[in-house]
Parts: sequence; C-alpha cells; structure tokens
Amino acid sequence: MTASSRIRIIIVDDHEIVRNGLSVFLETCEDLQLVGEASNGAEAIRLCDELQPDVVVMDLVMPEVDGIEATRVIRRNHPQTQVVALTSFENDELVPAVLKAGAISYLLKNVSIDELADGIRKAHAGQTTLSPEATQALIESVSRPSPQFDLSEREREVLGLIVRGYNNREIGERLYISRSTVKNHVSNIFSKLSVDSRSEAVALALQHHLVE
Amino acid sequence: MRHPKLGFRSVLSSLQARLLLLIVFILVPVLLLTWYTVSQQSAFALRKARQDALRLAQLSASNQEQFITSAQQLLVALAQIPAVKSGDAAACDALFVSLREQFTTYTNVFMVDTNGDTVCTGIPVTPPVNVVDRLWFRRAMERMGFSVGDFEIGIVSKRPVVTLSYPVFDENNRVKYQLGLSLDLRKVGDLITSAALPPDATITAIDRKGIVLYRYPSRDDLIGKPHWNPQVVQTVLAEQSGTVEGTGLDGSYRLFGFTPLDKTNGSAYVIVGMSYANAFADANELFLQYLVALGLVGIVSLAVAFVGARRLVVQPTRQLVASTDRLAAGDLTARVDTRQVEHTNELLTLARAFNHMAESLEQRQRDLQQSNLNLAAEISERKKIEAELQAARDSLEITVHERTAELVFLSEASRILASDLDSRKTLQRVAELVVPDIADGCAIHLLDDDHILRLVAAAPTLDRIPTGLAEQVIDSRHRRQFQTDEQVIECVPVKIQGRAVGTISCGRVLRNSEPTPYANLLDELARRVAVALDNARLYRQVYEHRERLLVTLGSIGDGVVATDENGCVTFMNAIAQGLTGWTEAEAIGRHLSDVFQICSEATGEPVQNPALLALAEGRIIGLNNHTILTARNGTQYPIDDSGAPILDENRRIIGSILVFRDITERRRRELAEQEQRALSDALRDTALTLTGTLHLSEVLDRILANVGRVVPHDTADIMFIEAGEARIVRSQGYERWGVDTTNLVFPVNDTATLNQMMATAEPMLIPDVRQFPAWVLVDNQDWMRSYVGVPIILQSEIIGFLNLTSTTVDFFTPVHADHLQAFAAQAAIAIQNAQLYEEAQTLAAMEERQRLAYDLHDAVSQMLFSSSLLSESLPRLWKRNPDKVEPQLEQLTRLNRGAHAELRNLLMELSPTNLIKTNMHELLRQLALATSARTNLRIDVHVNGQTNFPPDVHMTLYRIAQEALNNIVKHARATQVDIALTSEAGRTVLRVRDNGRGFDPQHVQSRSMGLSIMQERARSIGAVLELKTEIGQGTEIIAIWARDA
Repeated sequence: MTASSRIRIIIVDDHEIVRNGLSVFLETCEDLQLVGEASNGAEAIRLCDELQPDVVVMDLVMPEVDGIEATRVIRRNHPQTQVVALTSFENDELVPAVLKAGAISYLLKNVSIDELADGIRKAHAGQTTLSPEATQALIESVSRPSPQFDLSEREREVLGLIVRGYNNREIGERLYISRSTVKNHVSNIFSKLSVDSRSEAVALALQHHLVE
Repeated sequence: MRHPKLGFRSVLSSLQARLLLLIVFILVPVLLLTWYTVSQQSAFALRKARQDALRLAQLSASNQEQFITSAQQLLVALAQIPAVKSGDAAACDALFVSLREQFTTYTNVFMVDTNGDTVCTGIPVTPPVNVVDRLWFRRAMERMGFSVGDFEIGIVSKRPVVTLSYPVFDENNRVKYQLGLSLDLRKVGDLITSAALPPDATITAIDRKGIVLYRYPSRDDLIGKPHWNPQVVQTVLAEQSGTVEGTGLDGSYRLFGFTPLDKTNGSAYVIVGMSYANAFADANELFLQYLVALGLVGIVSLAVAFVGARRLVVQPTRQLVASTDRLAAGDLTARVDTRQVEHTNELLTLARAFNHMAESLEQRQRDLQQSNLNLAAEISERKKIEAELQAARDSLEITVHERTAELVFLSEASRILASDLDSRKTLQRVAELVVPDIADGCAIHLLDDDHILRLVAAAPTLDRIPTGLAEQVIDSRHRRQFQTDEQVIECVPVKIQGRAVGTISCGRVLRNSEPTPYANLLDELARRVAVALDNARLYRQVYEHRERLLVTLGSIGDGVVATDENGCVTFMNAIAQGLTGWTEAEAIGRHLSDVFQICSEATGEPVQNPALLALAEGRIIGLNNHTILTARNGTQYPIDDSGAPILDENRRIIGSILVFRDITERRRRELAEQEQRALSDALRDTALTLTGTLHLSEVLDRILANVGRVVPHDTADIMFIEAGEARIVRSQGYERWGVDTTNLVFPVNDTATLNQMMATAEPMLIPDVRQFPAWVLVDNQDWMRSYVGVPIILQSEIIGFLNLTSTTVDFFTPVHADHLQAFAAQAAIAIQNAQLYEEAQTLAAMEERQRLAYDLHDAVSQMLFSSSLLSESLPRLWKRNPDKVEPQLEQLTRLNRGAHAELRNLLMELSPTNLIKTNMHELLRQLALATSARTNLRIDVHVNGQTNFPPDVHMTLYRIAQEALNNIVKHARATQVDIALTSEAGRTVLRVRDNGRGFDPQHVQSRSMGLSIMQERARSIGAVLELKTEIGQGTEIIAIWARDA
C-alpha cells in the first residue's frame, strides 16, 4: 500500500443510504479516496470512463444495468480497474456469474468496515477476497452441476417469454416459430425443469435466475 | 376451216332437198283435196248412175205397162165385138190374124173357152193349143176380169211373152170365153230401146224364177235360161226395185237398176245394166284432169324450187365455202362478192360477216408478221446476251460445282446434327461424313465437365493428331494448321458464344495436286456443330424443365388449363381433365370456351372465363365466386376459378393459365361448418357467459344456469371427482321434488352410469331409467324417467360429470348428448380457468409475498448494512472529522427506526389479518416511515374521512399505495412524496404524488409491471386508477373507489 497515491474508488449502489454509509466509511480510511458515486450500472460505466478509478465497489442488484453487466463492461474497457462486488445476496448463481464477469472479490453486506477496507486494498493489489458465504456458494456451484437445467438457447428464450406472461401463440409470433414448435419447447422446458405448469416454471425460472 | 367437201355438199343438197320436200309437203294436201273432190264426184256420179239405171228400168217398165194397158184396152174392145162375143171362129180368126199382123208386139191374139180350148187364134196352129194348165188361164178364170199372166216363154212362138186376158161374158154375165193377148216382150223391149239409152246399157227382163225373158241387145242364147248372175237375181227378187252392182255378162263390173214389170203380179222384172265405168266416166275424167294439172303444177314448182334454191342458196354458199377454203388455204385476201349474193339477207349478213372476219384475220396476220419481225430482232439480241450468259454460267458452274459439294456436305452434316439429341452419335456420323470427300481423316474433341479435352468422334485413317494442337486451338480460339511428312492437319475450334468447347481436326494426305482450301468449310462445320451442341443442351434443359413443370402441374391439387394467345387449349392437367370431362388430347386446339363452360350459380347465365379475360386484359383475374362448371357429360360442379396471362420475356401475352378447383367438398365442409358454427355460436354465448367469471362457484352456477340453453331438462347437477368419488358440487331442479343434493357422493366405480362414462369417456343416454337395471334410486325419485350424462374432461382427464334428467321418457336424443358433450367441454374450460385463476391468484399472492419479502428483506438489509457501516465508521470519523459525525448519527437513528418499521411491515405482510386490523392511517404512516427511512424521501401522509373499508378494499388501497411508493423509490428520483386518502360522500380517493422526474406514459416499459399490478388491484375492487404524469413535472397516482359501486 503506497501512501503516495490513494486508491481511487467509486461506489455503485441503488440505495442512497448504503452509498451514504459507504462514503462515511471511506472517509475513515486515509488511503481510500472516494472519487465518485453511481446509483446504477450505466452511471457506473460512465463514471469509470470519466474518472478511471482503481476500484469499483459494485452492488449487484440494481435497476437498468445491473452489477454483473456493469462489471463486465468496466472490466473490458478498463482492465486496470478492479471490481469488488458488495451485495446482500449470496446465491450460488450470482457469485460465479459476477466473478466470471470479472469481479475480483465478492463481499456480503454483513461485512465489517475493516474487512471491507481490507478487501478493497487487496483488490487493488490484485488479490481476491471472498466472503465465506461466497466461497461456500462458489464451491457449491462448482461441485453441484449448475442448475442451469441444460436449457438450450431457444428454450431459454421461450422460458423468458413465458415468465413475461406471453402465451404460446405470442411466443410463436415473437420468435417466428410455429405454435407446435413452441409447444414442443414448452414441454421440453417443463420436463427439464421437472415442473408441470407454467406457473411452476416461472417460479423456478425466477428463483434460479434462469432468465434475464 | 374444217369443212370436208362431202359434208358441205350434203348440207347443200339437204337444203335443196328440204326445199323440195317442203314443196312436196305443200302439194300433198292439195293432192288429198283433189282426191277427195274426185271421190265425191265419183260418189255423185255413182248416185246419178244408179238413179239413171233405175229410171231407165222404171221407164221401160212403165213403157211395158203402157203396152199392157193398151193391150188391155184392146182386149176390152175386142170383147165387145159381136163376132167375138158370139164366138164366131172364122170371123175371129180373121180378126185376130189381122190384128196380129198389125200389132207386131202381140205375138198372138186368141180366145179360149172356159175349157181352155182355143176358139179362135191369130196363129192357127194344129193341133189347137189347150191352155187349161196355163197360169194365165187359171188366173183369168179366177179373176173374172182383166188379168195378166206371168211372163213366160210362149209355147208357140218360143218367145218371152206375157199373156193378158179378159173374159167374155155371155148374156148371163157368165164367163164364156177368155180373150188373150200375148205380148212379145222383145218387141216391147225393142221399142223401148229406141229411147235414149246410154251406150253399153243392157236391158234384161226376168221372170220370178230368174229365167231370162228378154235381153237387149238381143242375145237369143240367153232367153229362157237363168240369169247369169244369181246374186243380182236374188237382190232383184228381194228388193223388187232398186239398184245393184255386180258382174255383167261380159265380166265387167256393171251397175244394174231394176224394177218389176208387172206390178200386179210381180211376175217379171226389168233390169237395166250400165257400164260402171261409164258411170264414173266423168268423174274419172275430172280426176285425171286434176291429177294432171296438179302434177304439172308440182313439177313446175319443184323445178322452180330446185333452180331457185340452187341459185339463191347453193351458189352463194358455195361461193362462201370457196372463199373460206381459200382463206383456210392461207389466202387472207379471199372475200365473198356480196353483189352476187342476192336478196337473201341472211346470206348477205353471213357474207358480210365472213368478209369482216377475213379482213380482221388479214389485219391480224399483218400485225403478227410485224411482231414476228420484232421478235426476230429481239431474239437475235437475246441470243447475243445468252451467249454471254452462257459463258458466265459456265464459269459459275465450275464454282457452283465446287460449292455444291461443300453445301451438300454441310447440309448433310446439319441434317445429321439435327437428327438426334445424342451428340456422340451425331458427331461420329459427321466425322465419318468428312471422310473421304473432304478429308482423309477427321477427329472431334470436346471439353468435358472437368474441362478436359476428350475425343468424342473419329473417322479412320487419321493419325493421332499431335498433342497440344487441339489444346492450342482451344486456348487461342483460332484454327491452326499442322503439317507432317504425309499429312496436312487442319484444326478448327467449335465455339459456343465465343467460348471454345471443342475442336474439329481434319487431315489430308499430301498429294501432288493442289488441294482445294477447305478451312472455311471446316469453320462452317464447326459453327454448325456448335449450334447443334448448344441446341441439344438447351433442348435437354427445356425438356427437363418441362418435365419438372408437368410433374409440378400434375401434382397440383387444382385443375390447370393453359391456352395459347388465341385462347385455344395447349395443356390440361389430370384434374382439369377429370373435372371437365375432356381428355387433353381431345381438348388441345379447341377454344377454351368449348371445353370450360361456366355459368353463374345464382342466375344460371354464362359468366366470363377468367383466363380469357386475363388474356384480353393482360392482368390476373381473381377468383370468381359462385361459379358452376358444366362438365362434358352434363355434371355440374361449383368451382372457384382464376385466370392469369402468360407473358414472354418481352412482356407480350402469349397465352393464359386457368386454375380452378372443385369446391363441392369445401361447400360441404362450409355447410357443415355453418351448422357447426351455429352450434358454436350457441356454445360461445354460453362460453362467454361461463368464462365471464373466474370464480369457481360462479362458474358452477353459470354452468347450470346455461346448460338449459343447450339441452332442455328438468334437473341438472355437476359432480366433481375426488378420490374415486363423485360429489355433487352444484345442482338445480331437485328442490322441486324436495331432494337435497348437498354433498351427495357416489362412488364412481359402483355407480353404473358414472362407471361407464368413466370407462368410455363418452356420453350416456338412458331413455327410461326404470328399464335400466343398475339405476341407483335415491329416495323417491320416481319422477325421474330419462337421463343424459357426460363426463367433464379436462386435459384428457375426467374431473367430473354433468348429469341431466327429465320426467319424460326418452326425452334426450343423441344430438342432445353431443351438444351436452360440447357444453361440458366448455364447462371444463371454464372450470379450468376458474381453477387456474385461483392457482394464479394463489401464485400471484405467493409471488407477491415473495417479492414483498424480497423487497423488505432488501430494504431492511440495506438499512442494517448502512447502519452498521455508520456505527462502525462513526467512532473513527469522530477522531478524524468530528463535524461530519452528527448528521450521520441522525441518519443512523433514522435508519434504525426505519429498519424497525420495515420489520413491522414485514410481520404484517406475513400475517394479513394484522394488515386488515390495522387502520388505514396507521398503515400508511408506517409505510411512509419505513420508506423514507430507507430512501431519504420526505413522505407526508394525510388521511381524511372514513376509513372503514371492506377488507378487500382496505387491502387493495394499502397495496396500491405501497406499489406507488415502490415505483417512486425505484424510478422517480423524487425528494418529496405526498400520500392523501380522502373519503367523502361514499367516494374514496387515494392520491400518491411525487416531485420526481415524471415519465412519458407511452414509454412505460420499466414501470409497466408496477402500473399494471396497480390497475389490476384497482379493478378487482371496482376502483378506477388514474395516472397523471409529465416529464419533469412529477407523477401522481390516483385511485378512486365508490362505496356503492
């Protein structure tokens, strides 16, 4: 940790109270400098382009562009910027997803400020920090076959439309396939998800974030 | 010109002859007339002759009678003489002798007594004659008067006499004596003859036996003998007086007139015979005269005619003929001298005409001669030209001869190339054709698909052409020549559209004589080969294309007919043939309107053929409706037809296509569909009704309410299957009989009807339940007579039954059963919908709860995190920057309070009854507190008026406020929110207003979920949701609920 240059940080969270808390916390650290705040992923990307911070503390569940997508973009455009995911969720799909997107660390919002500061510093140094829950989730996601249910691209598309409430005919129209093809996909989806009804499928899809 | 002299002469003579004949013919009637006259004359003469004969006879007879009369007188006188009276013989004798001598006509005068003895006589005869046996005597003795005896030959005199007698009476008037006179007929006759008699006339007297008494001229040998002509005698005796014709003594034909001499006795006749010829002498003479005259006239006229004709006709015509002959002989100056033709106009005309003709002929001849001269001149001219031409021709011929061989070769080559599509065959034949006339050997190479040059045809005696020659020619696309020691090889490329596709190589053995160049010939051949190859390829393409097209057309399910530009059929696929009744072979060439006869279904009038119209107008003519096609055998089909023009690449119309299909089936289907639709409409109405609600109990009510529209009945009930038992969930009509069906349960397997329906999934009809052995009678259901039931099938699973009964036996029909089944299907759907709705509701509720939990969780955890950050950081901040701490402490407090409020919310969410129990004001306040703590929004809450709402309204209003607030937090970027709930006069208004950025209601993508949820909620309580928003002006959400709505 060099004292000559402080680590430049932007915080991204859609809850103002959290941003407020984080900014206060950052004030207590001499080597960490808050250079910007964003309330959603798009803003975050913009700020990164402008400010080119060293670390981004990224909340994951945000409206418009969420944390994962923002991470992906920022990491692509600014490889030298590290992203620390800070979220209240530790489900076992989110962890690998954001890590795959390029985040270097995954911390939960039950973390102490010391752990948080430490995590930021380590991230800037290129070291990964995972909260224990995240580690657990990561291990589970690796050891257990990812509950992707082996849905094909098309089936995912169809499932996404089912979740959005479209009936088979509408799905067929949107995807330019025949109704019988849609029915086929739907029954495949049902069997892969081991469900019997659309509502079950929707619940599962939402639960496991199978669709955007 | 052709006038054989003989014939001509015959004409002439026949003219003359005719003239003569004419005259003869004229004379004939004259002759006839003459003959007639003459015959009349003869008749007349005959009549006259007869009359004369008769008159003569009568004359002589009368003369005789005169004599007799005078004799009688004499006798009377004598009788008076006394000597006689006394009978003085001597005196009488003397008297009588003197009398006899005086009157020579009397051969004798005598007197006899009554005994017949001669008393006195003029001719004393010894012995004295006795006349007693004499007829005259007897007669005289009878008569007592004058009597005339028969004519007879006198005994004494041997002469024809007639004795007359007169009696002499004594004093007593008794006959004493008979005086007699014998009259000499001859003498009488002689006297008569002094009268004028025509010459040759004869007089003959006969007695009644036909014995000749007298003849003049005298012929003693005839006297006393029978007349020589018995016929005449017969006629005379028969007719007494008249005329007769017959043969005379001399054998000539004579005319005899006769009359009786003695009228009284009829004992003698006189016959005067005349020469027949004399009778007609005059007439004959006249005739002769006539004849002679006529003959003379005839001869004269004939002669005249003959001469005249000769002069008038023969000569001129002979002249004409002579002139004609001369003309024929060539002398065109021959003319007929019209002066010599006299008087006969016709001949003159003829002569003139002849002259005219001769003249024109002469003129013609002159003209001809002239033109001949001209012609001769021309001919000589021509001959000169011809000679020149001939020279040119000769030279040409040589060239032609050469060329012909080439052309013959080329045309034969073309013929070979065109004879077959198989290029290998034809090229081989062409190669063989080249040898030996054109070259000594020939080889044809073609590029195959891999662009390798291959030998496709070769004629013998050609050495292998040097490698590379053909390739060079292909590459350069020019011909090349190659010379070996023995041969000269010429190789030309075969080019299609400028590309070389092969070569033709010909070799000629070197000879002494200079060979004629034939490179151009080879070029031409190559050209033709190229054309043939290309044609073959194109033809194959077209053929395949056509085949594919025909197959396509054949497999089209519609009838297709193609026509040329005149509307005559060129193609007809199998279906078209079947429908129209025409085979393609029969239809080709005929006009479409013969083959395809259509008329309007409505009027029966012929309608326009769309293909013909397309042909005329050059545009596609759409489907006609209601058209009837009449097939060849009279069968009629309803069809849909359309026509389109066929255009070539220049967009000219070259034909048309007619497509049509038999819509009988479709019609049938349409009809069936219509029927079905009617049913569907009925069912749809009921369906709309049934699906108009999503509440199961209402659905069930509506099912029963509407089943009567589909099938009339007396009672109806709906059963749901639960664990093998069918439970009546709804019923109607049973109350009439006091039957309580609530929760009546029937084990499916044990109830016959249900069991059967379960097994077959088919409706069940029972015409009379009393006849149905397994019918389960419950209580006193004897009013129930007929039954119909259907299973309610949902996604291939039977979930229940719909049962109807009637008090009438055999009331329900299979159609009822079908309808009921259809209705049950709808009922199933309605039930399913209601069930799904419930599920969805539950799910939605579940989801919502989940979401809320999530939101709350999220909210609380954010707050807690933030709070923990602050509480951890603040001590350290205190050390560094104490001024910033205080506001943060406030924040901390707020956070905590907010978290607490959220948790309370969470608890409330988890227990809905709490939610309802808590009053509106409190709820809203809590909500506001929680939200503002979480978000730093300033939220004001105002509640006015009554707040006792029915539970669902209470919940809904709270939820709407909650959702609105959520949206604001998420999207509005506001700092201030006002929530107002106002109730007055039965109307409640909930307003949630923020001062955020507003949005364009058209683009509500991100917010749509929230808004639609709010709208759905409002709808569910009968409230109205309004949205007021404008970009930059904030957003207001208004929910209006009327208490009595």
